[in-house]
Amino acid sequence: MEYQQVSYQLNVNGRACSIENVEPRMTLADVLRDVLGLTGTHLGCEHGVCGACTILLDGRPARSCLMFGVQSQGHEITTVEGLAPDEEHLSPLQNAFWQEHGLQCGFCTSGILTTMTWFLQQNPAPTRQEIREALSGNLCRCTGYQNIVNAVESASQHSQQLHSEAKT
Amino acid sequence: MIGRRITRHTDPRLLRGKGRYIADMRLPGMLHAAFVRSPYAHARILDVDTSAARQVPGVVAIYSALDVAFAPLPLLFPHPALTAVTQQPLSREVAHMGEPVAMVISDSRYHAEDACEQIDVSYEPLGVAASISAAMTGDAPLAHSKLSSNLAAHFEQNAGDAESALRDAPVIISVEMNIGRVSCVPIECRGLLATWSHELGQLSLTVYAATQTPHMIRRIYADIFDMPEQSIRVAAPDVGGGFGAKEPFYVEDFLIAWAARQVDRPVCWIEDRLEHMQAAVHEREQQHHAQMGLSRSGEILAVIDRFVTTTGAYLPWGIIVPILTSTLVPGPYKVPHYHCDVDVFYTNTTPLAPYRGAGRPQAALIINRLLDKAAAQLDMDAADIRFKNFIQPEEFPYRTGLRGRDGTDMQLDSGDYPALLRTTLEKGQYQQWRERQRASHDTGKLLGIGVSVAIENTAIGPHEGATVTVDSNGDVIIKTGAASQGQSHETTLAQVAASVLNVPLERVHVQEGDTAAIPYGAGTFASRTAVVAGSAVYLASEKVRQKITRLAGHLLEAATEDIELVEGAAQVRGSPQRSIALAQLAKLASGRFPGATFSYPIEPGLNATEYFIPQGSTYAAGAHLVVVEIDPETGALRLIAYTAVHDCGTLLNPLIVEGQVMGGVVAGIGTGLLEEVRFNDDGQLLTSTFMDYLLPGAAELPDMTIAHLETPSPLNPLGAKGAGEGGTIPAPAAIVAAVEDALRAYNIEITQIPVTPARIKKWIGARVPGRPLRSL
Repeated sequence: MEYQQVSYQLNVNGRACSIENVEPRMTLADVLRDVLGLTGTHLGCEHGVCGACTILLDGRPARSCLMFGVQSQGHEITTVEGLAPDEEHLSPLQNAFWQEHGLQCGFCTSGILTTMTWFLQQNPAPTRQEIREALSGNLCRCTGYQNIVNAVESASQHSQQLHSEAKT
Repeated sequence: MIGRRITRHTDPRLLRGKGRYIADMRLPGMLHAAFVRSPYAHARILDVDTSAARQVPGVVAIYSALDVAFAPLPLLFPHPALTAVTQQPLSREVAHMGEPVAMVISDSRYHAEDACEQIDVSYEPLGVAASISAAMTGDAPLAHSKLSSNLAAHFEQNAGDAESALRDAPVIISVEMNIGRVSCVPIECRGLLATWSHELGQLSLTVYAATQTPHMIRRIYADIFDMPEQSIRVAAPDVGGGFGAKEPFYVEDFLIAWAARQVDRPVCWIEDRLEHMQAAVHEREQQHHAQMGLSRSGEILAVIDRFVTTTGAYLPWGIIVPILTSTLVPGPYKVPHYHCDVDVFYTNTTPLAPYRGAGRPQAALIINRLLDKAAAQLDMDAADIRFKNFIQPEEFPYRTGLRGRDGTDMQLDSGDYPALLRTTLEKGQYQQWRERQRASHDTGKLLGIGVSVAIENTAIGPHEGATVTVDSNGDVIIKTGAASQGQSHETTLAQVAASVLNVPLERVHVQEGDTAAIPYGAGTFASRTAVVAGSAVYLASEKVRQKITRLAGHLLEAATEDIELVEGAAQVRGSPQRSIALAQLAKLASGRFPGATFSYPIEPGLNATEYFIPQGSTYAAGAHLVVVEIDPETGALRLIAYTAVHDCGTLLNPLIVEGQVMGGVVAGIGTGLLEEVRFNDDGQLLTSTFMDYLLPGAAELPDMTIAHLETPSPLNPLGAKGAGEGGTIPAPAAIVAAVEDALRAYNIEITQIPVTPARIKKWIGARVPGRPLRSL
């Protein structure tokens, strides 16, 4: 038995990364975690239901456990490590999760942050039920979701406020 | 500092994806393990052909049932009634689907799994006892061929003379309840990384593990490998939820450490979700037949509960779950005569052990169902019958007449159940919902309201310790045997030390989940850490405070009692100019330099270690009010309101406690409405993925109202009671009550949970054969 190996380039969190001599069957999640050391992307079920491994592919949520690394060539990948603007500051959404106690063990959090980052771009002023619907592709066993909903709502209100202040 | 809503120390790190979980850890030369698992629920291993698998690139070693023979795992929590069968690693007789049969060690998980596929195992299938009912019949197949019966244990609980009291009772109520099995499902599965070394000439073992109980695991390794505990380190990194799944010692825990020694390289294993559903412990499954005798005015006279349950194929944690159920059926109510009779059977299914709530949701379900049914029969309100039967605030400490899980007299320490339920009815707008219910007849939807009240014995022994140290830079370091899986210890325990030592919270750091941090520990389970570890931190901090005041008094030439601690310094009361920083005191207390004379009136070091030894449990309590809406055409159920009021004594941090309660409630909703592990008659697991096993999602849940009552416990210096499981325990009872209430026009008695839409539709259909539903 022999294993074919491939090398390719990925664009992750705004940086070009060389992936060298990996098996083509290696999932994007494993490439991110094991080759690039971006272990913030977590694997909770490896069958696409729990959502913990969700990354943004060209800005849209995708399950990194359900695609191969090679398939993401030529796309912009954003992982949880790419959400904060810099080492000093969290993104408004991350900060809202902190203030609202929107995480406990933190394992599902990465996939929820990426999904909600996209969601708030699509729907900057969602209702609570819309937030709940948007969260329905992510499982959390610790929080009961309510503080996550609070955090997303709070981040949305915060950015709405900034937006209206900028207008006036 | 204690009692404040403080956001967590640890969050910025986790929010940036900088957490360090077991699957994120790498060691040089690390190898990966994967398991071949039995596709049969019960079988003998005849042959294992590994020849093709050994040709797979990257394979370093393969071990199977045929080439090793290990002793069974130690029995945790022994009980005199037990016929104990614990799991044997790589046994030649497998007793549940998913039990490991062979283990591959390879250079990557991909290659290890490739090799597993090439291993050819010949099985001789044996008779399968796949359910409690299949296991209890006289001619049932035996779950283990070496046993003569599937009965693992029979035990009873008695207070008073329940048989006579029930016989003489003017009103007798019966309840049947078949409680479904659930899986713990932390979003992070289990995992281990083991490595051996010969540093300094001594053999030592280090195991990083996603575990709730590092010290217990270390002890078991020491026994199995015949090593001093001091040569073994078990450390939990960030752990992605536990809920009980990461509490026992599993065969994989042994095999990975053993294999690392064999191949003399670090070996890691990360459980996948299929393995978790097959092999990590389940819970809840019980079948009850309960009776309650009452006076005509609704006072409970006696309760008799007989239940059968299974521990699955093995005993990962003795029979602690049915013991807990049997002692907690009376709950917050005065039950003068009580009898409980329990049979525990082996079945060829995944083993059972505590999951969040640990036998208590079942107990709460039984007593609350009995009361609801009694209320209906006596034409009383569901809340009124509870008020009538509560243990009253002035009756504490209240002796139940039962023996607790450790064999000692069971005594409830404190509580105010009437206030708890009153608060719940107010916050949950009970009367308003009843009015809306009366007015809702014509909507086509059925509205139901359910109430439940339950208690939880929290904060169990044996002990937990804490070492509190003022470091030479003035930071305070807490080391404890507790282990966090997301419960925010790094914040709440820091609050306790910061309060005693009067230092800024950000200067207090918690190190836990690591046997290298403190010699003895118990771990995190049974809602114990805030109370047991929290009290240890309190006691140790207090001791450090005394060392500080003695040393500062000596240096500032003041009486010890005149020294006060102010924001990281010790000063003579009222004289800020006569002050000395804690950092400076810590430096002096550690000995100024080698060769200097130590002339201070304290033992060296601004540190202290204290163990808190709980004497009896603290009893937390919770009351829930739930409103459901059911579509009788489809059986679809919507939760439309949920109120949970919880009493865990003194709140160390309300933000954290609310998070614990809300998460707990949703776990209880899962047990009540959605989650069910199912096996077919052959013991095949039918719910092995998240497509088949339904967890509560955000969209199905309403916004909950959470409130607290604080009746401090007299049993610890903080007045705290456990908070981790209290949200879960009353939930299934409240949900079942609400569903039955919604369906009362059909006169349906719910005898099975989870209450799924399919079951609701079936029950409705059975009540009105051939009649259109709308005509009701």
